[in-house]
Amino acid sequence: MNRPARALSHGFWTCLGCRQLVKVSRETRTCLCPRCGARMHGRVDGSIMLTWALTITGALLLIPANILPVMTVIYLGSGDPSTIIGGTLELYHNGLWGIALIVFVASIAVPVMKLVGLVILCLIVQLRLNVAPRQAMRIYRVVNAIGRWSLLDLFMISILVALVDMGAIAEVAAGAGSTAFATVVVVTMFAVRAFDPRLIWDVYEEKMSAVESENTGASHQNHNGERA
Amino acid sequence: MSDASMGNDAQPEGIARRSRGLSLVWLLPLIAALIAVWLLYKDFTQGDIRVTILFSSGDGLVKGKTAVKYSGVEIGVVNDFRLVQSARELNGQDGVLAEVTFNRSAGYLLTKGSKFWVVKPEVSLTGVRGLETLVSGNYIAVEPGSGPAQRHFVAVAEPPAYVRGDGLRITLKSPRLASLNRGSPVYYRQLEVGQVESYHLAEDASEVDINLYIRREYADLVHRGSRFWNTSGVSIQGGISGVNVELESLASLIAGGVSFYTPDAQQHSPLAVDGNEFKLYKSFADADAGIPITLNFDRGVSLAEGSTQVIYQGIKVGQVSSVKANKSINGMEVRVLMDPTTDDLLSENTQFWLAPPTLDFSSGVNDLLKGNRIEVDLRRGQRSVREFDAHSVPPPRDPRVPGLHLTLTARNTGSLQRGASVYYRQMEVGRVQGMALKEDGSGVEVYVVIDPPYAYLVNNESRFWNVSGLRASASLKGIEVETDSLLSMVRGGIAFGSGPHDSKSAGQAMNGDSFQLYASRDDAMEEGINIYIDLSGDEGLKVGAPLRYRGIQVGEITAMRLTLDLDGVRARARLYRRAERFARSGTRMWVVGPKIGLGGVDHLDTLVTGPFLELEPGAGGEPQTDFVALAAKPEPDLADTMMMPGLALILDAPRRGSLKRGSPVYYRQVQVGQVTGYQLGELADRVYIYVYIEPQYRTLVREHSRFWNASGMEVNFGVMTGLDVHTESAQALLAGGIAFATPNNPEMGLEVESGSHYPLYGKPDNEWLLWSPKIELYPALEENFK
Repeated sequence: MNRPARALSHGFWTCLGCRQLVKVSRETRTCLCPRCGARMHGRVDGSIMLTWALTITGALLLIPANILPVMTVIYLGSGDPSTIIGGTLELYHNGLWGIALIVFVASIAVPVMKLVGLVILCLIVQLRLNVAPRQAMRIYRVVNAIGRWSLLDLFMISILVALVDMGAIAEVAAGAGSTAFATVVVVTMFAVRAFDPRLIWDVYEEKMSAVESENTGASHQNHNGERA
Repeated sequence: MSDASMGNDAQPEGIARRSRGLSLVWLLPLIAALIAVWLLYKDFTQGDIRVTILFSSGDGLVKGKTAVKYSGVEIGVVNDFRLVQSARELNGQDGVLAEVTFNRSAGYLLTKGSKFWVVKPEVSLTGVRGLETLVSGNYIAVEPGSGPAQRHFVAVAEPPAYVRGDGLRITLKSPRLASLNRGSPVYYRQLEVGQVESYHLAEDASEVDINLYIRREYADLVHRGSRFWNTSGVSIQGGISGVNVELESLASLIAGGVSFYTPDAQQHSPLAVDGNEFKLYKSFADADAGIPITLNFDRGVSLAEGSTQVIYQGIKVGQVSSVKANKSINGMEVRVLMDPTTDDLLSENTQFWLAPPTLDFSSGVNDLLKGNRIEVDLRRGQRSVREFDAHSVPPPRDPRVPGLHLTLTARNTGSLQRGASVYYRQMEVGRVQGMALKEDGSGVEVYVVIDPPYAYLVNNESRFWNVSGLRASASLKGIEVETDSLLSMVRGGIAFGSGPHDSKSAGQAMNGDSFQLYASRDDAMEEGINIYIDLSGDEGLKVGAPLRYRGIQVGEITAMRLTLDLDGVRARARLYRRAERFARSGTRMWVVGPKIGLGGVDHLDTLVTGPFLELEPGAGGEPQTDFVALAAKPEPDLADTMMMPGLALILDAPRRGSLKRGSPVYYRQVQVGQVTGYQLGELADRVYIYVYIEPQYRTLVREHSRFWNASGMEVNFGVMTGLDVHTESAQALLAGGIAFATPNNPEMGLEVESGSHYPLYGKPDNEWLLWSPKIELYPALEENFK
């Protein structure tokens, strides 16, 4: 199989600060960029670990985000704090199923999908699952793309809080749940950013090499370098 | 690939750096995990508890909406309903089983004995409850029980009585529930300090026990001596004393309520403790007074519950709280709440009586409008009494009132009332305390007390008279109205002043002195003596008709009555002082009335003023009080006439003709005398006519004078002379008259003495008319002709 060469295979790292190509020895695990002095890694340092951590954080924070009320609409002095699900259900019961769908997608489906996607990506890399790298990349791109749209809810809440402040008649107050929800969104965005998609290809490369060596009887000589 | 291998050596080397251990990024999931775990724990521990409540009706319950509230906090919500057929807990009726999810925190409320009920907006005349549910919708209230946890409940229909919270729990006893209700507020000075917890019939069903809950912070306002009264609704008490509207607050108007306060006298009574019992008064007025006493009236009296006051010397010391007939329905049993300060004065010596309203302008019309009042004479005694026999009329006198106490005796009292004023120079100086019939019924004793500062005004010679009412007397001089004051006109009054003999030596009046009460000031001031006059009765005299002598009033008729045998009228007249000497023998009196005759008109004024009695003093000296009135002015009789300076003659006539007393006697058509009387001769063969000739004319009558009857008219008719009508005078034509003529000087004869007899001719001779003697009249009387 005729595959393109990888920089890493040839002992080169790229400085993520100034894009300087640096030659490193195979034993080097981390070093500083000789040109700009930034810390350098062959791959993003601890990418999988960081992604895992942030993903788990996001998943855990989904709990308060859904338990705590995100918004309290106070109408004539009295109001019920509503959670995300509660509000969605209320919208749905009131017949506004279109809006309920949007809220559901933006507030529940998207963060969950994002977390699920991240977990899948992490698992692929961690467990070296035999997944077509292009499929994995598609997941990665989707997760990356939809991340910020989850902030739509918070956006809406903040606008409501600003707009609906008519003193005793009606008032909208943001709840603690919205903070948790915002944290979920931000954390997942960081998680996506922490994930290094090159690892997918490392896994693929490794698999292909293994197939080649099986076919050609070559040894696993690159294994250590790839795992760096 | 070639580029890479080509620049392999040209690429800079990375600078080696030491690696670190575990990344700090794991702190994030750790924190998140902690938060999530904590929240999950909280959510789990406070999560919903599912409970079923069986209602007899699902009325007003909304799925997913109806909340369960406790202390105003939502602790659960109705999730779903299920019909239950023939529920055992509801005596076989169909019920509605509500599935309710409770907050985990409310779990402790869900124990055996917890009660659930639906709070609905309830607006009625007796109360407004659950008004908030108008906005928020019905909700289910819960009252926690105690015991093991339970998950299935049966709702109660009524809210349980018990009010949560620490406080004082007392019981009010009331004959009626009035409009009190559960939750009705309890007010202290219009501040809500508690509420009605429950009510139920007392064991013997004679009363209603109302349980009150007073919040702990107000519990020390309730003393054993506190008084509770019902402030439910508007209490309007109307009466002649005005309208009394009591309204504690608008809320109590609708919801009913109880108010209480502690009278000053009871401020130091011990604090109430749980379970104390109080009486619930009907109104503030009822609760106000202190000592309940009972008055037994021996007959019905007009008293108004809650408005009739008990007065002690003008001070309100109590109020009638209830009035009812006594058991034998022959009197009244009146319950009165007396001022606590009268406590030790309610003894066996204390007396109560009903006092009618008196009009007193000094206190406004109020007093009259207040209606009857009960007066009390509070006196200390040996023992404390709470039940009295009350009098329906006030006692006539009360010697304890300070001042000079006098007894006035009168034949009647006129409009004199108890409490009427006693005036001195129109100043009020005392009061009538009361009056009583004398024992023999001959008069009335009026008990009067003169205020101490004025007591010195009364001396032994003071005269008291009644100024009650209005006295008016009319005469040609005008109309005279006598009254002392407007007040005395209505309420009566007594005036007094010094007697007619203003003596400096008169001693001060002493307590208990007795005086006569005259009917009027005139009576009091005029002394005089009473005389009694027999009248024939047709004179037109009236009471008050004057007795006059020479036009001056010397007395008046004070009373007239029929004689016993109905043959006349006996008048009592009073001779004024200084006219007393008319009351002697020989005094004559006769009625003077209007007289209209041909001879003139007399006493025309009596047409208006009425006849009067003319008096003529007699010469006699013996005191005499009984007189007989003459029918007319007494004419001098013969004897009198003889005594008079003129000439009294007796004419012998065959008939009286039209002669009568007063008929004129003419000489040359000049009246010179008059007929003073007539009488039949001793043998009735003739009539003696007494004639009196005025003194100055007495010389005209001579021995040979001729008298003839001049009555009638003489008509001579002749062809030559024509008609000649002759009469002495027009009056003589009707009233009769006598004319005389005296012969010419040589034949006339001597002057005659009184008592001479002459014949009376029917008509004159022509010759007589021609006589023209010259007679000298008495010169002393010449001026008469001027």
